[in-house]
Amino acid sequence: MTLDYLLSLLENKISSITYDDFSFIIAKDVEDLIRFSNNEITVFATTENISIEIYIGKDKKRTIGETTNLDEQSISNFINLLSKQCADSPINNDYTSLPPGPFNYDHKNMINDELSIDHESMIDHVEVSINSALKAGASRVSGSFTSSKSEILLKTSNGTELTDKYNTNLLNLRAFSTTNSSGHGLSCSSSIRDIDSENAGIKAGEYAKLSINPKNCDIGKYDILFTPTVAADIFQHVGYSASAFSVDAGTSFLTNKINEKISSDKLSITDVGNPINGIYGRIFDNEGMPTKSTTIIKNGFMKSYLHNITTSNKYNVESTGNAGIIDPSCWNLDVSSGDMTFDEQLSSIKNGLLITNNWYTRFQNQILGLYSTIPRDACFVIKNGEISDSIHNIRISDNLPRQLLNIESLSKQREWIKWWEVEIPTLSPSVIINNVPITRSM
Amino acid sequence: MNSLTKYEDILISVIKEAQKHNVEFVEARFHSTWNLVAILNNGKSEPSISSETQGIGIRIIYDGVMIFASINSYDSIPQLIEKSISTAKSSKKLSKNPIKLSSEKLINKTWAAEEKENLKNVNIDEMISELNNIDEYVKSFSSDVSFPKRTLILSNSIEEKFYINSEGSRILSRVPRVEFHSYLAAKTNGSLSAISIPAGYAGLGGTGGWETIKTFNFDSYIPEQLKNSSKSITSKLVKFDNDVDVIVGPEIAGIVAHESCGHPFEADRILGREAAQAGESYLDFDSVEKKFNFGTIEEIDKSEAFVSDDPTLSGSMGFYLFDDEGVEAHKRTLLQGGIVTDLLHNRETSFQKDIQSNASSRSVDYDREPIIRMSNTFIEPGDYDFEELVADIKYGIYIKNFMEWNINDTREHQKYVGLEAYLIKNGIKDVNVKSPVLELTAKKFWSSIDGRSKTLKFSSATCGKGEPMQGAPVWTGGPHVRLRNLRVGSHS
Repeated sequence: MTLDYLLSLLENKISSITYDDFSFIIAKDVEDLIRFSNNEITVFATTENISIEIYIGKDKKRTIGETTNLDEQSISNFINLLSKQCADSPINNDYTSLPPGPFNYDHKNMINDELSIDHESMIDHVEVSINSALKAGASRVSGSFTSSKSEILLKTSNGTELTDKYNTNLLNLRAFSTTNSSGHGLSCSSSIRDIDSENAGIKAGEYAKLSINPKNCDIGKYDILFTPTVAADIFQHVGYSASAFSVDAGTSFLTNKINEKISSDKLSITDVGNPINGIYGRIFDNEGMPTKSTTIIKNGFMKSYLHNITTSNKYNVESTGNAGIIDPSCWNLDVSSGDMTFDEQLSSIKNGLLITNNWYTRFQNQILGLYSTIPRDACFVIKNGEISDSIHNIRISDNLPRQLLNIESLSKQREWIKWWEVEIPTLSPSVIINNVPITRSM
Repeated sequence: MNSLTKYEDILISVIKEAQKHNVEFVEARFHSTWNLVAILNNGKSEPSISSETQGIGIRIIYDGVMIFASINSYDSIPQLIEKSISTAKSSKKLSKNPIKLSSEKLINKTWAAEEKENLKNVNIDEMISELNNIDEYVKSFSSDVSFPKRTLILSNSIEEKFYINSEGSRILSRVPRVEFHSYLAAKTNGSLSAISIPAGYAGLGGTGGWETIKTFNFDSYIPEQLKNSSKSITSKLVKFDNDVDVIVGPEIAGIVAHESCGHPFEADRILGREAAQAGESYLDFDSVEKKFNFGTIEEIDKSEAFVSDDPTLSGSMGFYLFDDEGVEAHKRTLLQGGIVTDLLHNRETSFQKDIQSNASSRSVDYDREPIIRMSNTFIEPGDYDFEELVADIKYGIYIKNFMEWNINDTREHQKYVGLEAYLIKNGIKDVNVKSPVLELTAKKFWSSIDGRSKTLKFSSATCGKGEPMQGAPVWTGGPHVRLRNLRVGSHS
């Protein structure tokens, strides 16, 4: 079933209802996944999914629908259902018509030259990552490798008709020593050829070996060197909070912060729709606006929220091309680099910690940014600029505004991070944050 | 009436197509989810969201390799199976231990959750009207605290499945659900705080038709929550210099039961299948019928810890009568007075234990493989009245509910930060306490219980696990639980 065939069905059916605005997004996603644990494949999963998202606006009323039921009669019924739901909905005076265009769209900056998913190559990458981790000192390895190809077609009532394609390849693994110390490694790219399974395996295996015999750590405040994996989790919460919908909903610590100093001068964060050599990219948003680069934080100052046309109208600014029709959201986060290498950052800490991975970030108060997160896998004490004891069972109990203001350094090198805990693809450096409170269970 | 019977021929064709390749096992699940969501944001209606997802999820065991495939364009099924088996052949070099399933009874059943008023007959304006009533009350709430930002969400859904496998099982099911969430920004003396009602980002939810919304009792529930949350927001931090006795409310008891007992009792985690995602467990695979131990940590000698998981609870979010491998469900007692009595199993882990599956396999959509999940996990009630639990505390704290929580990946080290909490002095509930922190080990929690109240309460939650992520509807629950001599911190 082709996207063009579904578009012709939709165009035919939409003509039977009345509307002020409509849009269709037809997406075809093919995703293959290999999961492995204890050095063996546990499942090979393949998904072929075609979905249709429909937006209808009429008389300042709006509705959105998504269906994977693709036969002609079902599509017709679904459009009629949405039309009725739109009519039954209350008027919202924030209603904003879809952008009329025409717009200029970027050329795609990502590598999209792989026509189909290469299963042999996926299996090879899994094997290489396992063997590299074992060779580096691990005794067992678990993880996943996902390779996906997506096509998307957008059509709006204003005549905009656009297509885009993107590929993602995500390798994520965790290596364990005989005593259950562990290390984490990953590699992300739009091209499977750029997946570095060997280095991801070596990193996970070496951390697992280096972190054996962990000790308890005194609670207190530490200067902490976070690897890009952990830093990306911290920065993705800046991304979530930058959505104008989050601000309106009262779940953002960036509320009322435009043009205020909110972080160290060293930090700039930009949302990028179409990154060069990124792992996810779109040239248009779900309302047909061109995606672009939007500076969220510039040298420590909050510059912009992320907008769709409805929130931009309310805030009296231009859309930033981040629709979601309800909730504008990040495409990819680009975090500024600094002037130190990772080793120089390590050397700069007299008494501190190195944290290589984390998970389970949860907020007590989102609007104040009060939260905690749990370091997992290898963690170390840093003494006089060198890795010292391995430590475990600690928790970071801090707040995001304080952390952003206490960033001491960012590394020169950056890595693309996306895995189970980090949903927004983030190009992140390693980061030193001063005086981070560490707690632990009693 | 299940609407999926018309797909039987497609499901049978999947089984036959896979069997052409001499597979050891094949199952096909037609899985459909209808959903209508109303959102009110600061009194204004966001676009309603309708979804109708449906497709087929297929599992095949070929030469000991597990394959999962899903599709919603049914003319490509033969090619999908061909591709899957070809990859399974290539995967064989990294699949040395063949996957096998426990032998289970063949089932031919149709079942459904009780449903009086069909959710598909409920218009969006009716749902928004419910939210408007709540919003008007919250907006006009009169105290030192106001709620200038309000996001209210009401979701109606119907999940239908048609399962068949190569062994001859054939099961049709239908589960309607209603769920409510709200997120509020509270303002007092110029400062803002974010809370949720219910607390802990949880929901009010249950299975059933539109009649379910009456069980939420918005007219009494919302005013009570606003009043109590407002007092919590304006309360003060209290520093506890020594260990104190603690009573946790059902919401905290439920999240502890889920996070620190349910998850580590999942057999797939114990075997390492989730190691790179949701983590592992402090238990080992031989823990059953042994005292509750925590890996290298010593065993508990005596425990008031009684935890169960029961998918058959009528009206519950985690309700099901047969799991997604076609096995009949029943209540699972996980922990009985310090003894591990059962783990959560699917057919793959049951085969490894040479036991029958206890029907813990669930999938949340057609494009997700069935994996071991909880259903409704709770600490069992005890013999006390709440007042009796309080009366026996000289100086301590009652932490009714929470916002922030997390737990390490082996499920041993956990933290819960209270939202509504009270000092207890001389057996009497006293003033509110702001953001008390319980940061403790699983051993400390489960071995410190000395009393449980008679009344059992549940919260609606979404449990995350798997890759790709699967958010499964569950209830978490418990009675009021008293724990002796715990360290209580305060949020900085």
